Amino acid sequence: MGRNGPGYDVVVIGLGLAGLMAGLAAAGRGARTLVVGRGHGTLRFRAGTIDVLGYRDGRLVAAPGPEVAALAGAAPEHPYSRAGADLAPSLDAVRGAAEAASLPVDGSLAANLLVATAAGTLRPACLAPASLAADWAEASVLAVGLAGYRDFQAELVARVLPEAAARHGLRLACRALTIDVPALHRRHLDGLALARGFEAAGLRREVVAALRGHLDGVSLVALPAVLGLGRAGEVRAGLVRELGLPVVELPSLPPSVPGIRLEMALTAALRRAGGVVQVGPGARVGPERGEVRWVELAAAGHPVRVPAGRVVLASGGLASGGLALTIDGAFVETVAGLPVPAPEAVDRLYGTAFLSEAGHPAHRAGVRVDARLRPVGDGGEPVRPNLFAAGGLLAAADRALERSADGIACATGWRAGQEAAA
Amino acid sequence: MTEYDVVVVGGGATGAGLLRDLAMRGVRSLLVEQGDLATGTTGHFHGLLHSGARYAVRDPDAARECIEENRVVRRIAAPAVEDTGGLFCWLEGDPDDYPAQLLAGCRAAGIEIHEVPAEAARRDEPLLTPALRRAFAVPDATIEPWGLVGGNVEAALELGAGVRRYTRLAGVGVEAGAVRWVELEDVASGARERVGTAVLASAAGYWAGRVARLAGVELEMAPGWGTMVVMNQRLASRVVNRCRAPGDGDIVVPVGPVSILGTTDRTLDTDEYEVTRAEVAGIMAEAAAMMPAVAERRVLRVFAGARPLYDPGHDASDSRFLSRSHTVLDHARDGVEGFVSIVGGKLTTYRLMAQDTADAVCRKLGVTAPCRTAEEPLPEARSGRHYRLGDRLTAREDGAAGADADLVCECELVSRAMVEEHVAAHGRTPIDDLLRATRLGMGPCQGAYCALRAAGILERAEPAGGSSLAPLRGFLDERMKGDRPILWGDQARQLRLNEIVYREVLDLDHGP
Repeated sequence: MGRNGPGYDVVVIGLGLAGLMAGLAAAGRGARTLVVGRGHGTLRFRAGTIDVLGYRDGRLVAAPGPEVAALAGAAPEHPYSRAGADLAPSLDAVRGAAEAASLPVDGSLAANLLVATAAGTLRPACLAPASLAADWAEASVLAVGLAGYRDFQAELVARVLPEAAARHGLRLACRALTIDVPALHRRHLDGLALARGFEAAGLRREVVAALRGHLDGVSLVALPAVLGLGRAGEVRAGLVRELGLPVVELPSLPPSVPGIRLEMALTAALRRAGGVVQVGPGARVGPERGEVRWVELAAAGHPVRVPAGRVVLASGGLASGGLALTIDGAFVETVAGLPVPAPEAVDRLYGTAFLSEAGHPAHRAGVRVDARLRPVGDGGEPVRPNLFAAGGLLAAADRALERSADGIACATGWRAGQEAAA
Repeated sequence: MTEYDVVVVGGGATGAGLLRDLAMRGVRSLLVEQGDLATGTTGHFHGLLHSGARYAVRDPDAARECIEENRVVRRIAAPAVEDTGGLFCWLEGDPDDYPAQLLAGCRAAGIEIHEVPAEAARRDEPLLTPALRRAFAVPDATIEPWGLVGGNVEAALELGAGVRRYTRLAGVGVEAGAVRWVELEDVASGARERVGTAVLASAAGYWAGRVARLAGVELEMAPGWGTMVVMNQRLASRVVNRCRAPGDGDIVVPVGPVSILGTTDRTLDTDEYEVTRAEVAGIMAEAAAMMPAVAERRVLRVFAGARPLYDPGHDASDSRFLSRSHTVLDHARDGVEGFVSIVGGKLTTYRLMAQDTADAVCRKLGVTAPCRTAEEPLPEARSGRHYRLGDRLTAREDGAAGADADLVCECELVSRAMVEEHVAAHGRTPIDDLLRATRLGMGPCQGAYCALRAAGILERAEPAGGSSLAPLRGFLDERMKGDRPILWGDQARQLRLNEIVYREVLDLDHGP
């Protein structure tokens, strides 16, 4: 059944950070590469930063590079150990793709940055778009909310941020201001609509006008992370120039504008490298067992069989639908039916509190892989010789506790893409 | 020392109804509740305003009480009631003799019942099983408990009664064999105060044994818990009952945009009941026999309610038992004058329970004013119009161009204005109080979006002490209780997404 489409050396399933990185690595090595997925990855839910390792055993990580090496040494099943602990090449690739899209990136593996959020917290991030980074020490911050945009409450930021800073040994002051801008009046706004709005000069002018007279003694203006999409650099530069002050963006609820910017930058880099990106169809691999020879795309009406030399599965974890959990506590890998051992008995999969310090064991579930990132069965042998896995699908990391989701996606995506193109 | 005629303990439906009843008879009363209003059994039931048909075969007295009170509550609390109607569904293989018994029992109790052809029932309720053979329509309805309690309290306040929320009964002063005062503790500050009273009326329900012990009286309750499962959709427009002797999982109640499957019955004496996956699976399987779609639809959350049951046991012939379904205990028999407890009963008959208790209290006080709660509607009920699903949407659409277009909770259509109104009245409360007042956070996203927004608006209200993120954390942890036994499929996915937002993006587990 099905029609045949053009063949590819490498087909990557999944359009999140891991899939885009795998596609970039494979295409960069000259492989004919297709990256396909049902929709967007969790970049659109995240802050748009690259979190490599923020906490270890509940303790803030100052230097993610060395701590990742230590973690990989101590936990051989951890995706960082499987990928090889050198994160630098994949992070350089992210930085390169972002900067090519005029999104300068701050940070390094040597030290975590502190990124402020819409909850007023200051959280660790290895890399962050320069627009999310600021020098918080002794800052006098004006947190600016926009009436009609519900996902950023300036009062909460102003109340929490100084306390959060104190926990990091920093002193700062923060005031709240909510401006009611005629251009936004009574509109039902989400971050994406606002980001598009900020690319028009009219809104920017009104925001600047509303802020004049409130800037005495202010050293830093904090706005929700909605300052432009494709032309974000220009938007922020304009605001900085007109206000005469540095401007920082604070990430909030989905949709994440910084995450979408990063996704756009990586997708553009992938296309420049010759990769083909197809958004929409669900995918399955065939035949039933042994070497994968094709990927079947559920296009409207008729499935299309795409011959594939090698396949990278980057379909994500529970949040993305790459993994699913049944009522009996069994985990299902939804694209290729790979084995997924349950990390705990059904009654112990979740902690009793949402923010439980021990996390939720269910979120460590995933596919186990060999040293080349090929999914393995119970005996440790590869299930299929030419199938690789990367990102949220991989077992043995609690990304939520570690704040390691982006780093794992970069490192394993990059490595799986290289393996698949080798 | 402040003096009252009566201190009522327990801010559920019965306590609120009692406070109003006493106030209408001119009795100076104070209600104390250790948490928010309607947070015990009243806030944890399936939402059914009984027609009495469920009791018609087994317990005719309770059935008669239910239908009489059903008619009264529809009249006095109209906006809290949705007139859904109910169906009893007899499926292939169900006991042959039950339909005849149901019809006879309903007729004897005065409950309007008529048979509906199975095809017509399935046309009206398309998700009913093809195994449906007979269907019987009865005047079941649904009732929104927070509105009901709020209405009673509001009416009592208008008449000069007092209400103290987040206030615990810490001690009872019994002198010369009679109640003289109670000691009240402010839960937040721990501050204590003595309040003089002639009568202590315990409407503490499940916790009545504890209140009695404070007065030196032994009161044996028969504690139990019932589990209910909330489905993400309104699966039927009527209450759907199984036409056989009541058992686990045999009722589907449409409540606003969701449906509640009920219920189990476990005899257990505990403060916190943890629902298990097996229990949820059992309830769903039973409900799926009536409505097969239950097996495929998304479960939204589960909750368990404490049952305030009282087993009169060997004392069954004692005259102090006013009816079989609820009991007013005059503890003069136990050597303490001026202390009564109301135990047993159910939400449908809350008003009658309050009336019986108020009668007992008034006899002690020498008050002869008659009860008028069955005649006089609650303040918001004077229009006489029932709640309809879609009212909130209609109101929004009518005012769509107005300033109220700012939605805080999309799932339940809660606007900023509604949140601000709550904040103006109550200050910076836990987000859960806001949930009870507005349904914020009860929809499919389980607070993923509205929790942060609500925390921000609460923050505007008042420069308060404590961590500003504490209400947000408390809300998310509280939601987890109802979520934990149903974490599979879409719920498991939603939890992971919420974790990305609140832990990974917003750092709530490490922030101040």
